[in-house]
Amino acid sequence: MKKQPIDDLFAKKLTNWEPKVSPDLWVKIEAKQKKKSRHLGGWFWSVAASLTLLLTTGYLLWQNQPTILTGSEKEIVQTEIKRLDIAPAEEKGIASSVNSTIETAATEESTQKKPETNNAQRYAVASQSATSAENLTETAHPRVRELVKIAAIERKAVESEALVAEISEPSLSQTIEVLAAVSKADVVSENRIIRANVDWDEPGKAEERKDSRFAKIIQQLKNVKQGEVVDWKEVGFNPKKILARADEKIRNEEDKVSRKYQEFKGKTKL
Amino acid sequence: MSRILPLFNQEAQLVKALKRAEPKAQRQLYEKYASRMLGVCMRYAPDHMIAEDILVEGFMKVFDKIDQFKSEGSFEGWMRRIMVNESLGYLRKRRQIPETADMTEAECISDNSLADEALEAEEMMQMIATLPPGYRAVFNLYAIEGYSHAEIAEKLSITESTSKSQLHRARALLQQRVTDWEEEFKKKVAYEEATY
Repeated sequence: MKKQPIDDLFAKKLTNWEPKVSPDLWVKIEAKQKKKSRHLGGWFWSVAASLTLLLTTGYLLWQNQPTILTGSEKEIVQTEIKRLDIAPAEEKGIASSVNSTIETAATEESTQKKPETNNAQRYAVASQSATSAENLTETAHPRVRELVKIAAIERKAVESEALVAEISEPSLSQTIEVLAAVSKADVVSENRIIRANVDWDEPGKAEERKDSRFAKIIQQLKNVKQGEVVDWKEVGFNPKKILARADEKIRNEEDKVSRKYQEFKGKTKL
Repeated sequence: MSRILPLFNQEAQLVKALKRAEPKAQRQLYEKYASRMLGVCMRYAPDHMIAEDILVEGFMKVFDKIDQFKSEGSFEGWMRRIMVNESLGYLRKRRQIPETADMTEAECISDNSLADEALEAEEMMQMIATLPPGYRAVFNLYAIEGYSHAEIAEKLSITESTSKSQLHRARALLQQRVTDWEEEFKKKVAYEEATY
C-alpha cells in the first residue's frame, strides 16, 4: 500500500513534533531509578549477609569437628596455669629442667593414673609465671609446640595454687615431666588460669585420623546399601530421635487446632 | 543543562556512558529527547497526562534495556520504537484496540497544499485525537512510524486486512477534518481581507 498525501502531511509535521514536557517529569524518573536501585541494593546485601553467615557457620563447624572426634582418642594435655610472679632465677631453673626433660623439682606422683594405659601421668604442681608456662609447653616437646591450641582462657580468682600440668602421651617411651617449684609465697599479681588443650599426632595413628566424619557417613551409607547394620553413633545422629521430636510437635499443633475448634464450636452453639 | 550537554558530544559516547548507568548521561538523554518522545506518546495516548506517564515508563525501559541496543541502527529510532511499544502496551491494557475489522473503503485523494503550509502540529494532534483508538494507532504506526501492515498486525494482534481497512478509515476521517479545516481557514482569510 502506497503512502498518500494525507499520510505525508501528518508525518511531516508530527514526526519531530516536540510538545512541552512538564518540568517535574525528570524528578519522577529519578525517584523511580533510585527506588529500583535501592531494591536491588537491598537484595544484594541480604544475599551477601546470608552467604557470609553461612560460610562462617560452616567454617566454625568444620573447625570444631576434628576436636570433637579425636577428643576421646587422642591424648589431651590440659594445662592449668596460674599467673604468678616468679623470680627470674626460678624461671631459669625451670627452663633447664624442661630441656633435660627428666628433672623433677617438686612433684606429686599422680594417684589418678589410669590403669589401662601405661602412660606416665604426672601432676606437677608448681608455681610459675605465665611466660614460663608458655616456655614450658613450647620446649617440652617439639610436636606439642606445633599443635598447641589454647582453647579457652578463663579468669578465676583462686588462691595461689600453681601450675597444674597434666600430660599424657602413650607412645613416648620417656615420660615428660612437668615440673616446677612450689612457692606460694611468691604469689603477687593477678590470678589467671589458662586451660590449653593440646593434641598431637602419633605416627601410628596418623591414618586413623584421616577417618573424617564424612568418611564415616559414607561407610554407613555403604552399610545401608549392602543391607548391613548401621551404626548411628558413627553417623552422629539418630533419625529415630528426630522423628520422635517431629511427631511430638505435630501432635501439639493438632491439640492446639482442636482446642480452638472446640472453643469455636462452643461459641457458635451459644 | 548547557553545562551537562557538552560532556557527551557524540551519540556513541553517550550510549557508552548510558551502558555504565551514569546519571549524568541519563539526564542528558532525557534533556535531548524527552520532548520529541513525548510527541510520539501523545499521538497514541488519550491525553497529555497519560502520555507523560508512558514517557516515564519508556525512559525507565530505555535505561534498563540499553545493553540490548546494538550500535547498528539509529539510537533515536530505537528509543522511538520503545516509546511506541510502551504506548501500545498502555492501549492494550485499556483494551482500546478494536479487534473487529471495518471494511469500509474510503477514497481520500486530496491536494492539502493549504494545510501543508498553515496547519499547525497542535491542530493536527487534535484531529488525530478525534479518531477512534484503533484507527489512530494504525494510522500512527503506518503513516508516521513507517511500519508495514504485517508488522502492525503483529503488534496489535489483528489481521493484516483489519490493519488495512482501519488505515483507510483513518485516512478518510482525517482527510475530512483537513478539508473542513481548509474551508474554515479560507473563510477566515476571506473575512480578514474584506475587513481591510
